[in-house]
Amino acid sequence: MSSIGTGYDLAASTFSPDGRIFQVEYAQKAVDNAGTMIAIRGKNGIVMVADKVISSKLYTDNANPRMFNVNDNVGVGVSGNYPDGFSLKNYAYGEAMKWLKDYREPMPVQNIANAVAEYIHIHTLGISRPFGAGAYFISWNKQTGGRLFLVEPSGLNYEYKAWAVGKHRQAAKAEIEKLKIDELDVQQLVKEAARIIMAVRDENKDKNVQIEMGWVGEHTDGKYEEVPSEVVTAAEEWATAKLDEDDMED
Amino acid sequence: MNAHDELQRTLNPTCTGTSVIALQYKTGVVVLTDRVVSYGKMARYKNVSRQYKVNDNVLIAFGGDHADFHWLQNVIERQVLLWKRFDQDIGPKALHGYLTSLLYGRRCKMNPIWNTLVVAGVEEEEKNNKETSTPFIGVITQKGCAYQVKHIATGLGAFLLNQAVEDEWRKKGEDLSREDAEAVLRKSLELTIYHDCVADNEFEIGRVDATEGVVLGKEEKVIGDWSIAETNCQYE
Repeated sequence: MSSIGTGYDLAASTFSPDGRIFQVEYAQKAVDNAGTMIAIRGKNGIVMVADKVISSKLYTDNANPRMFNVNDNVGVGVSGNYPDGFSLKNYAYGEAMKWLKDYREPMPVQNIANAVAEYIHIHTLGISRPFGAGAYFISWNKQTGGRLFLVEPSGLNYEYKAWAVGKHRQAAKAEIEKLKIDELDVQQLVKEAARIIMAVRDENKDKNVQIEMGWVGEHTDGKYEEVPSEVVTAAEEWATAKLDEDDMED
Repeated sequence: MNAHDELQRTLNPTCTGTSVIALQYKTGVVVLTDRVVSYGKMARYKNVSRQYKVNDNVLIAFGGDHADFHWLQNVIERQVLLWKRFDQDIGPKALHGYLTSLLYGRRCKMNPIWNTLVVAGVEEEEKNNKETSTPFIGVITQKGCAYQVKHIATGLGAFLLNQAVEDEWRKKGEDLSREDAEAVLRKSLELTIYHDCVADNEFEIGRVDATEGVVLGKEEKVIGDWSIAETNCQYE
């Protein structure tokens, strides 16, 4: 960022002369530097995986989860600044409640993503600081199949087949592109996703890391759930074996 | 209260349901409601359930205004979602307490919710141990008067049935089996259709069992014995 310190980066309320909003770009950095988090849409469901650093052994198992239910059908995964992400999840939750009150049916994933994107966008207008977090929203049902959205700190909200954010997003995206994800079922996705997360780790720097997973699909009857720890462990074991095997070939 | 506030209040219910009869048995609760919606004394809609499954542990049945109850279903649904956010399932005791406050609050605003509610369920005493779960029946009247019972009949049933249901209950007490409890309910419904002109002979029996959870009832029908009608001097 060449023009750092030229006076246009102290608040999101002013554009730089070349049309950039530095505060929003810095907020994006909070996501870019956080643990890798990927989401993949497969044949019959979606899997979301986060790589988290466990900074102390004194934390309870799965303290500070990054994935939550918004309602029974939609899952949210937040990356970046944890309290910011947590607050986004709470906002999404409130919106889903309002929807349920007004329409008496669960809020669809696209509407949730849009509502959150609009909320995030308001925070890029210079009133207060932007959110240093991004949020995946995933759901699956028989009519629409799987849907996956990512809302970024700028308020950008795109729908993806698969995506990666965080530290090793480039490597992770390259790995995802090698897969025929449309043909993979959820069980295979879980394994491949674990493999990708572990493959892109920097062995020297990424220590005390833990994988967290969430899924939704035909097998959960369209309900978003946290992936059971046995399944995650099995996927990790499969991935370790697979990665060792690949190393042997090289 | 302002001068014309009465114009904005429900002063009379419109589409209504009549009695609810519920009874505890050894490991759960059975609840009977008929399946008609009355508009005044006319049987306006048939095949409508008056029972709502809240989650695996709680079932709510109601008498009184259908529209108010539909609104309540939404309130309850949102409450369930709020509890899930903290990884908890709302139990019958907590829901009974919540609805008591809600109905009492509304009557204090002179704008009551026109329902008599029967909250039936099993209260989990220990996590992941269904054997220690205890049956629960809680009643809330339209004015927020709430109490817990082992057996209940509401609506016109309160005048007709409570003694009969209690007599049956006392014979076996806590050891009452589900089959016996359902037999009591069926007999009770038969008594209401003889005396309550808005009660219907099509009904359902839902139950909440400690091990099976909530099981919604299937539609059933009772004909009864109408030979007694001959002795009624107004009967044509």
